[in-house]
Amino acid sequence: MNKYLNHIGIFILALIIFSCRENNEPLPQEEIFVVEVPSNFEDLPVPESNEFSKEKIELGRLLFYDPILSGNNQVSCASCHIQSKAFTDGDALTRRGVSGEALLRHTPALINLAWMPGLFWEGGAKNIESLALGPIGHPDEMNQDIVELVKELNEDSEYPLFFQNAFGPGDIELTQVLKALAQFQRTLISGDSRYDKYIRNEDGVTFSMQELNGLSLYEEHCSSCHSGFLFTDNAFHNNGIDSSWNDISNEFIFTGRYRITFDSADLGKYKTPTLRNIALTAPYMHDGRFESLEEVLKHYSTQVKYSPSLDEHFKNEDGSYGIPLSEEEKRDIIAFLNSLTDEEFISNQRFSSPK
Amino acid sequence: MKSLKSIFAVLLSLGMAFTIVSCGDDDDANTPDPNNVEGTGKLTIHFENYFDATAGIDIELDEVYTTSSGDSITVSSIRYWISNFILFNGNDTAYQDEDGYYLVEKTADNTREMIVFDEVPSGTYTRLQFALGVDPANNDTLGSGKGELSLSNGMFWAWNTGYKFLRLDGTYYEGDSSNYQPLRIHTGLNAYYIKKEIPLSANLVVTEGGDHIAHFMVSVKNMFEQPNAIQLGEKDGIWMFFTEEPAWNRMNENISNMFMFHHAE
Repeated sequence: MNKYLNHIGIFILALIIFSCRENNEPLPQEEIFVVEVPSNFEDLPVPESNEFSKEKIELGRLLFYDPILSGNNQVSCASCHIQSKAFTDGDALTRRGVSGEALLRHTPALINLAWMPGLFWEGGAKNIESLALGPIGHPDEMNQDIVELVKELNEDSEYPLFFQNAFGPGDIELTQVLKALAQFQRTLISGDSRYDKYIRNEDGVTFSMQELNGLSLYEEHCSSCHSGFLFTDNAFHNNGIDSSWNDISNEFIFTGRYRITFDSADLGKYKTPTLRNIALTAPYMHDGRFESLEEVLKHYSTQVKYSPSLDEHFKNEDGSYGIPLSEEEKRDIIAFLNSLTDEEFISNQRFSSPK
Repeated sequence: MKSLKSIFAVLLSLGMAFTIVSCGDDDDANTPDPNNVEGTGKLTIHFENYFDATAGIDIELDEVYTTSSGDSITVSSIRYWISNFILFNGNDTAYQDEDGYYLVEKTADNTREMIVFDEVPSGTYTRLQFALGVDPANNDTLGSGKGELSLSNGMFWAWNTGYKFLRLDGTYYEGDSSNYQPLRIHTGLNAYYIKKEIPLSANLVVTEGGDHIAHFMVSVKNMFEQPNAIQLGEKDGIWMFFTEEPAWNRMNENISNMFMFHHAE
């Protein structure tokens, strides 16, 4: 069993020896922590300002599952990011937040975020450390005043000790909350699906003819955007589900990537979601409009709508739009997509509630 | 002479090696003036917020002021980040306040116009540099906790990572209308980070044990007219710098002209 090869311990060790820590104190030896990465993955990017430690990852997990993060102390990150559904929640537009109002975007799955340069559906959050401020502060999500949150944590009977174990002496600071949450989320690595075992020649896993055919259809039609070991190019595309974006309410949330760049070429573009664990993360698209993979493939084969920002991949030489697929081809693609489900990811106790 | 040179070269390379290997935040900060390392004095930088500094018109919250484009405005709060001070003596960096981020504000709850440096090396300073906003390296990650950078005062965007550099909230109306609309000027983005370099017309002299103050006048009016005439209605009063565009470019150029050095004592 050599499925985990790319240990990055030496890299982390090198960083600790040569990098400059804010307090100029060397890290204690026990803080060096190796996060294992599947051998078919690229190395794990770790920001110098937030190197892994076991204590910080554990603290991040505790916070992720703790409703203390919300204004009414009833909603945690895990209320909407549920492990059994690859850290999404199964709702098109969830009402699991503090207000009970439907959100305006579908809960994104939390899979291999460490390799993702822009977070949220339109990539507005530049790193995982900054990302948590969105849901924590949003009135319909966790509705938490961040000054109040830090006060609550400092007054808690357990957290001050946990934070001191992770970050050293002193009062709890917001930056520590964000760093710990980011560390835990960076460990949410999924790379142990039947597909991964198949390409690693592991455990004698083989593909059926249908799956093999689905894999080759995926490579031909889907892999330009759902590319590489992440099954996403981490870029933004207009996949033809809408053709006009006149609603600029809610700080332009309905305009997609345009909200960040204000470039009309980005109207209706959203980040390519990973295909990993796709069978677990229904419904689909940024607003959860498609209930099943069958509906998604029906869209791509016959329902793609034209607009000036429509991705080139959907424009055909004969002037039509979309990816023509027979019913059999759709079934084959779905059979392949099912091989991307990672049972270990959704049952791994290190990602589960610590309580 | 030759041996002196080689000793110097050895010393220089040792020094460089030391510089490369060591990297504490404190090593570079508070670099003493090479001309005078005798001691330090206190220096306060005072940002006096005016509506019209030239005419001596103070800015009072919720008072009505008129811009030269004919818009009437009221201000309910104004806040901005001032950061990365450097004092120069000629071409030499003589004092650098690293990781210094300060929130200057005038709101219903608080007025803060003073930034205090307790230990500035005594000496003569001819130029001063500071920034309005947060430098790109620190603007891309929220919650670093450096200086006064804080997320507790609404000076950031959560869904589009970055700090708001200047935030003015209030109301406005155009021309003969008296129908007040919300006015929101929230600047940000790395592209709009403003570095100001100000020659000190009279040199700033910091004496050992002295208590000095450098006065800046901040003219809010300039935001609407120096040099670009701004009609607030062009953007329906919502001037949010989400991304680069001509209207923001014009206002940001004006914002960089809000700060005028007055005198030091």
